[in-house]
Amino acid sequence: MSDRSKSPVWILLHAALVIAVTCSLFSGLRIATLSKPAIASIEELLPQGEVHSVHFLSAILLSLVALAYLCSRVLRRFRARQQYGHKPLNYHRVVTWGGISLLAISLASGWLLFAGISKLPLTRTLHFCAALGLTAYIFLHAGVYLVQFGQNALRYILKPATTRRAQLILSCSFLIIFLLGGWLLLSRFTYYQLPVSTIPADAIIDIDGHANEPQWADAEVLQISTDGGANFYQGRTDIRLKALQNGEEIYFHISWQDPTESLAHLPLIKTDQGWEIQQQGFEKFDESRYYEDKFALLLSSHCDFAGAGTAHLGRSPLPDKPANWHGKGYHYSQSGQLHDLWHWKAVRTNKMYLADDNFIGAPDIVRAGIRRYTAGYQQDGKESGAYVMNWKWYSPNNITPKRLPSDTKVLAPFQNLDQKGKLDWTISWFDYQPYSAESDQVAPGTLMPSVLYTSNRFEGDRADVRAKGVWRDGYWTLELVRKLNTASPLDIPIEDGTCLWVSAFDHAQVAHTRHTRAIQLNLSNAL
Amino acid sequence: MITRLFFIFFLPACLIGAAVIHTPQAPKPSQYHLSKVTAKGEVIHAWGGPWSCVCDSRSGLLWEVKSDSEDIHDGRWTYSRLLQNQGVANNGDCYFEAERCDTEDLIRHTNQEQLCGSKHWRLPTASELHTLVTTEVKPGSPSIETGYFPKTQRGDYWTSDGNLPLKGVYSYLKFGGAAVNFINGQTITIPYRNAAFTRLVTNRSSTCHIAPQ
Amino acid sequence: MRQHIGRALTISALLLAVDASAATKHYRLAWDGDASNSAVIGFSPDGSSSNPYVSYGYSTNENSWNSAFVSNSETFDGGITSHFVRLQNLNADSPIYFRVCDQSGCGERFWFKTAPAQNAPFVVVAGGDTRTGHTTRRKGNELLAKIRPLAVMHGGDFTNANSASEMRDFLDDWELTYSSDNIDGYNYKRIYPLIPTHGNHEDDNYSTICEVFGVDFNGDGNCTPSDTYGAVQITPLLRVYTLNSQFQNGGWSSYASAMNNWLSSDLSTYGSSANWRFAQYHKPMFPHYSGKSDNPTLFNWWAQPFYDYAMNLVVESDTHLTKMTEAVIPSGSNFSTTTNGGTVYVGEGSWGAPARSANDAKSWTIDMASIQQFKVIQVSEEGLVVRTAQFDGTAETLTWEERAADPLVLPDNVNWWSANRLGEAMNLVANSAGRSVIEEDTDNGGSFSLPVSDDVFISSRQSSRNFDGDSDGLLADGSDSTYGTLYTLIKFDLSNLSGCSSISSATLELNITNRSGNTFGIYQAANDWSEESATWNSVGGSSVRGNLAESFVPYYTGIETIDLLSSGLIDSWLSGTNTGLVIAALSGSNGVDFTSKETGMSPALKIEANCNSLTKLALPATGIDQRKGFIPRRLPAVLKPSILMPTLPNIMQLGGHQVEVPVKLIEESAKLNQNQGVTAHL
Repeated sequence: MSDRSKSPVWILLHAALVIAVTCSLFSGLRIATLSKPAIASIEELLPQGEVHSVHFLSAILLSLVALAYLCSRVLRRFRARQQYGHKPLNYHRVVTWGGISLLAISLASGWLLFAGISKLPLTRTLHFCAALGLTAYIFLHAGVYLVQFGQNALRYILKPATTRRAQLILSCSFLIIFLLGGWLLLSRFTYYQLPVSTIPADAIIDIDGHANEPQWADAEVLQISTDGGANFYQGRTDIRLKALQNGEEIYFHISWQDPTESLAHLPLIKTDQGWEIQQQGFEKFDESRYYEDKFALLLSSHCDFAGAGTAHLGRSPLPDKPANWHGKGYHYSQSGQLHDLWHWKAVRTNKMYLADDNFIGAPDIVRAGIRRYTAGYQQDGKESGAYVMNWKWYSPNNITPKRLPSDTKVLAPFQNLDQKGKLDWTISWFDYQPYSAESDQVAPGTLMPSVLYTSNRFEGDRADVRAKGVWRDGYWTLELVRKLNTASPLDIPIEDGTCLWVSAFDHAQVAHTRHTRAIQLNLSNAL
Repeated sequence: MITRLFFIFFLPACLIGAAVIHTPQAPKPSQYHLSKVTAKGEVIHAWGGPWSCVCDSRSGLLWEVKSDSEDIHDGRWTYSRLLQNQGVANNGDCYFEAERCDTEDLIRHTNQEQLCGSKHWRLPTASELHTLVTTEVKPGSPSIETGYFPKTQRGDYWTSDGNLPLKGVYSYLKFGGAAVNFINGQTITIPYRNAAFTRLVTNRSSTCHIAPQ
Repeated sequence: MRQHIGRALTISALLLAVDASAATKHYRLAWDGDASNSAVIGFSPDGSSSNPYVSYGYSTNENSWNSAFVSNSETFDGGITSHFVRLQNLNADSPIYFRVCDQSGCGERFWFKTAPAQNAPFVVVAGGDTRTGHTTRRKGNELLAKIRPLAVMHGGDFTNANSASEMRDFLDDWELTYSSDNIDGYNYKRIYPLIPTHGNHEDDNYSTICEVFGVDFNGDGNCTPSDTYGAVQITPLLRVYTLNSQFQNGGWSSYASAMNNWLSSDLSTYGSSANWRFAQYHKPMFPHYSGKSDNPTLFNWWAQPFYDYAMNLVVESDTHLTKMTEAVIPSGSNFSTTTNGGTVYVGEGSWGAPARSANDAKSWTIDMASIQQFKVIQVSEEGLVVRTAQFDGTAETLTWEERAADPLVLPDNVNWWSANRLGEAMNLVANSAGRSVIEEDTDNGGSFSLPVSDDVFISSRQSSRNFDGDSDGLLADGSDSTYGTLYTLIKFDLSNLSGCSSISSATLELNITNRSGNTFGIYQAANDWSEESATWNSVGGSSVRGNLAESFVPYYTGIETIDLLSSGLIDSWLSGTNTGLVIAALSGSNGVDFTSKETGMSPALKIEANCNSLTKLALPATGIDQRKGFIPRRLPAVLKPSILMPTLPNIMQLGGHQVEVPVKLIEESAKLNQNQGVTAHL
C-alpha cells in the first residue's frame, strides 16, 4: 500500500461507493428472495421492510459515484497521456478492474430492469450474477487489503491527505444535491402513463372479458413487462392494459400471457384414509401448484416504489407482530394511508363477476385464534356471501368436508386435472348435502372441488369491483369496472394521477409477478 | 494476520453457514383467555379445530360455537325468544324442528346432546354476552373474536334479560327481551317475537373455570 | 337471439291429440306490458320436446282454440332451457285457456285471466326473497294458490346461488301456486302471471328474469339487462313499475341512467293516467335491519320522483322481514311523515328466506316484524287495502266461483299480521294529487289526523310577497331583520269531521326546526285566505289575528304539541267559516321555524272523536268526492251491513285488542264496460 493519502474527494466518493454497494447488495439480495428461494436461506443476514426504496436510492448514489469516477478517469487519462506512462498490472489492479466491470454490469442491468425495456430474464440473471460477483469482489478487494494492511487500510481510505474542509463540504453538498435530485427525478417522473379514454355516459361496456365494444379499439394500450412470479415461463409475463372512463366509472381491459388456465383450486381427493387437500405449500400460505390463476391491481393516490411503499419484505418486517409463514413479507401501509387492492380470482370470484375488493392499510392487530396474520392486506366489509372452502377445518393431512354431492356422478368431470375445456370448479351449497361418514360413498382416488359457494356473490363494499376474465389460446383477458368514487372509506377515489400496479398469479397463492415503475392514470381528458 | 483472516473471511463464512443451517421458527400462538373445546369437552390447540365450544377463563363461562353444518348449532338459524313461558313461541327460522323455532327449542336440543359435556346450557344474561363483544374487528365483521366464534352473524343475539319496556315503534307491545347487537356491541330491547340469533352459555361445565390470576 | 317464429294460427286438427301429454314442464306466466291484452307463457322441455307451441282460446272448447308458437328460447346458467310463447292481442278481462303441445301431444290444461280494461277491482300479491327456506317458500306458494290473485309481483332473489339446479327447484315449487279448478268438466290449473324483479342474488346474471320468465320489458326481442325494468299496466287502475336496484352497483351507470330517464319519462307521460302507481325493486332505500346498509343512491334516484309523480305504494325486498311505513315525503337525505299525501313503503321480502330481527325502525315506520310473509293488496278505484299474509296452513281456499263472483274477496282464516295502529289492513286513499293518504279508523274514539290544506307564512316587510312552499318552511317572529313581523297561517281540511261527534281531543303538532324561548300565540284567523295568494297585505296584516286561542313556548326542536280542544277553535271553524289559524309571537324577537307540508312533516291536527264512518267514507280525507264503488276501510262490526260483506275474515282477538276487519262496499265495481279500452298507456 502506498504511503500516499487520498484526497478528500476520493475518500468521499469511496465511502459513498462502499455505502451504496453494501446497501444495494443487501437490499438486492432481499428482493431476490422473492423469486430465488435459495437466497432466503440466508434471510437472517438480510434487511427487512421496505427495501426497494433503499435499493433504488443506493443505485442513484452508485451511479453518481460511477459518473464521478468516469469523469475522473477521463480527466486522469488525459493528464496521464501528458505526464505519466501506464501503471503496471498487479493483483489489486486486476481485482479493481474486475470490480469496476461488475459495477458497470450491475448498473446497466439494474437501470434496464428499472426501465422495464429489456429482455427481463436475461437482464435479471445478469444483474443477479453481477451482485454475486460484487460480493466476491468485496472480499477480494477490501478483504485482502484489510488482511494485508489491517487498520492502516481503513486509515488510508478514511483519512484525507489534506484538510481542505471547503473542498470536502463542497463535494458533499454536490453529492447530496445530486442524490436528492436523482431521487426526485426517479420517484416522481418515471411513471408509465396510461391514458384513460373518455366514453359517453350512455355507452354500454359489457363486463364479459371480451373487448368487443368499439370504445376499446380506440383506447390506447400500455404494455409492461412483469416478472418474479411463480410458474410463468421464466417467471415473467407481459401485461397489456387499456382504460376507459365515462365520468362515473372506470373500466380496465387487461390481458396477459398464461399458457395454462388453472382452475383446480386446492381440490380435495379421497384416499383410503379419508379426504385430503391437494396442496404444495398451502400450509405456509404459499401454495404454488394446486391453485387458481389470479390477477391483482393495486391503486393508490401515492406513487412510491414497491407498490406505493406497501411491500415490506422479510419474515418479520414488523418487529411487534407475528412473522409470516412463507418469509416473503407483508403488504401494509406505514403512513396509515389506505391503498386499494382489487384481487380477481379465476375460480373464487370470476363466477361472481367480481374482483375481491380489498385494501392495504395499517398493520392489523394480532387476532387470537387465527393462524394467518396478513398485516395491512385486508378485505373490504361484506354484508353477505359468498364462498367457503369445503372443509370443516384445515389440515395438511386428513380433513372432513363440509358437504358432499347428492349424486357422486357430478364429480366425474373433475377426475382429470389436465383435462382441457371449461369446468366450473365451484360447487353450490344447495347442490351438495351435509357430510356424514355414513353417506360418504365416494370412491378412493376421486377428486372434488373445494370452493363452496354459499350464495352467488358478495354483498356490500367487497363487491364494488365488477370483473370477468376469460382464458383463450394462452392468454387471460380480464375486464373490470368500478365507480370512480365509491364513497367507501375502504376504497380510494380514482382521479387523474392515481397510480396503479398490476400483478399476475399463475396458479400461485402469493408468488405474483411485479414491476418497478408505477402506472399513472391519465384522466386529464376526463369529463 | 490470522486474526485478520478470521474476522474478514472466516467469521462471515461462519455467519453465512449458520444462516443457511438455521431454520426459522414457525409462528406460534400466544396465551389467550379463550380456549377451544371440542364437542366431547376436550381443550385443543389455539390454532386447532374443529371445536364446538369456547371457554373464557376470565369469566369461567363456556360458550356455544356456531357452525354452518345445518345442525342445531347452525349460525344462520333465528329464534323468537321464549323462556319459561315468557315470550313468543316458534317465530324464528331454523330447520331442525317441524314447526318454526324459539330459544327453548335450542336449549332443549343442546342439553339433550350434552354439548361439550354439559347439560346446563341456557341463554346468557346481557352482561355475560356483552363480555364477548370486541370493537377492534375487521371491516364488516361482527363485533366478536371470529377466530374463536366463527359463523357469528352481524345481528341481534338473545339474552335471558326479559320483561323490559319496549320503546319507539314497539312501545305498543309493552315488553320485550334484551339482545346484544353484534354489529355495534350495544344491548337493545326487541320484541320477543323478533327472529334473532342465539348463542347459549353454561357456567356449569367440567372443562371451563375461571383462571387463577 | 330470439327467433320470432310465428303468429297465432287456427289449427283445430292438431287439437285432436288432446289427451296426450307434452314433454314439457315448469309452466310459468309473466306480464311485461299491457296485462289486458298480452302475456308470456314459459315452459321447459321435459325430455325431448320438439316444436312446442301453445294452443289457447277463450273457452274450454278446444276446437275453437288458436295456436301460438315459440317466440324465443333462452338458456339459463347452461342448464335450463326455456321456451317462451308471447300471446298478444288478447281480449281484456277474459279467461285464457291453454295447453302446451309438442310432438307428444298436449299437456296439462291451464287458464289465467287477462286484466280488465276498465276500473274493475282486483287483488295482487307482492313479495320477494324466495331464495332459501324452501319449506316456508312452499307454504307461501300454497297460500298464493288459495288467494287467487290477478297477478303476483316478485321482488327478486328467486334463488340463493342463481344456479340452474336451484332455479329448477324454484320452478318445481312454483307449481304449488297453481289453483285447481274444474271448468266445464275439465281439470284446469289456474296459473298466475308473475311480474319479476332482479335481486342481488341474481347479480351474476343480469339477464336472469328474461331468461327464466321471458319478460321483454323494452320489447326489442332480445334478452338483455335492459329487460330488468319496465312498466306493467294492470287495468286503468294500476301501473306497476319494476325497477332494478342493482344498477346502483359499479359497472351499470349507463343502464342506471337509461332506467331513471325512462322512469321519469314514463311517470310523467303515463303515470297520472292510472289511478294507482306501484313500484317494486329489490334493495330497500332504508332497510329495517341494522345488518343491512342504507341505499342512499336509490333514495337519491327515486324518492323525489316517486313523490313528485305520486307513487302510491312501493314494495321493497331483501331484508327478510315485514314493515309498513307512514305516507312519507323525502326530506333532505331521509323521509319524513306526511299526512298530506305521500308514498307508502312496504316490504321487505321474506317469502321463504329466513326472517331477520326487525331492529331498525325509522321515525316514519308504523310497524315491523320478523315474519314470513307477502303482501296481499286489494286494488280498487277508491282505494288500496294492503295486508300482510303470514304463511301457515290456516287459510281457507277460494274457489273459482268465489273469485269469479268477487274480484276482491279474500279467503277466510288467513293469518294476517296485525300492525300497530292499523290492525290487519292498511287502507290507502289518494289525495287530489293522487298521492297516498293512510286512512285510519276513527271509530269508537279512534284518532286520526286532519290533513293540512293550506300553510304559508307572511311578512310585514315583504308585505306583497307570497311565501307558499318557501324552502324555509313556516316562520313566526315578532321582529326579524329581513322579514319584519312574521305570521304563519295554517288551515286544515275539516271534511273528515263532518260525521263526527264528541271530539275528545284536538292536538296541534308542529315540527320545530329552530327553537325559541319566546311565547307564541295561536289565533283564529279573522279572514279567510289561501296559501297560493296569502300575503301580509292580502290578509289584512296584523288584523288577521282573530281571537287568541292558545299560547305555547317552543323550547325544543322536534314535535311540539299544543292542545286546541279547550280553545273552542275547532267548534268555531265547524260552526262558522274555516279560516284556519295564525301563529304569531306574543313577545320577543327570537322567532320559531317549523316545517311546512312542502318541506317536511306538515303541521298536523290530531283528532280523537266518535265518527260516523259511512259519512266519512263519502268524504275522504282529501276531499275527493268523485269516488264511488269499493271503499277500502275498516268499520266497526256493528255498522257492517251484511250485504256489503260477501266474504270477510273473522274478527280476531290479537294481543288483547279487537282487530277490526275491512269492509268492501261494492256498488258498481262489477259493472264492467267492455267497450272502454285501456288508454294509451303503453
